[in-house]
Amino acid sequence: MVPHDDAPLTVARRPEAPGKLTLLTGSLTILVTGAAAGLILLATGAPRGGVVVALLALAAALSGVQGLLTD
Amino acid sequence: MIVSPPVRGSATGSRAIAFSAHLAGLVSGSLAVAAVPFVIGMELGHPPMWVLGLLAVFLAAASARLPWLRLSGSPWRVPSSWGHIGRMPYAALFGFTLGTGLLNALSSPAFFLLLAWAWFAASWPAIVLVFGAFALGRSLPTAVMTAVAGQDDEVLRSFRVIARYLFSIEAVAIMALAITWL
Repeated sequence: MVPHDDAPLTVARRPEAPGKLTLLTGSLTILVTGAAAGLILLATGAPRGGVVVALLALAAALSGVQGLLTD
Repeated sequence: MIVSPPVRGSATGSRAIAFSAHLAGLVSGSLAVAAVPFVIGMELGHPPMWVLGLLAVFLAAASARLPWLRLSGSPWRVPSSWGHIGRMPYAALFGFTLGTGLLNALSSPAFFLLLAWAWFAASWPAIVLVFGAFALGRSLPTAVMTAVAGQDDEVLRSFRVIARYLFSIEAVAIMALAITWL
């Protein structure tokens, strides 16, 4: 007699990769946020050398950490 | 396959020394590559700032992972066979190649902006600050793995999870800079 398993079959489904439209929306949201931040800096008269260097240092540090993903 | 500097070891002191050599190499490599556009800018001048702003917009879009816009770097990796030169020299050399940002895989599009900005930079201390930040960021995962030896895989996984989302902050910063330069 063949053992009978009543448990329903479950199939592991791979999560779908985000579509191009989703990626585009996300990217544009990020860019608009950055543009807004830049405009705020301009409006407040902030973008002097110190602020620019600080933003560059932030971008540089983040770039460095992301290098881990390429290892 | 992860090719990382040989900072593992049973002795905490030897790991710290190897990491120090790795960090020194990172800083040296990043400053060496930054010096080239900086000197060119000081000697030959540079285009108007809006040119840097346009480049920053492009790189912000690449950082934000806009579809159809992908940048890549060198496919070259430091050969593990170079380890025969000794732990410290290898760690320093490995760090130097990573610090240049161009010899190995591109860490992120922001690195190109750093090089372009170096062309426009007016002072070497600012270069040291910015590229030093890059070197420190690049060394951070290795520093943590050195400190918690024995839990490397778990720490590495945690860092990878965090690093996957940093691109959005980077893109915001680059875009903000672009607006101020345009």
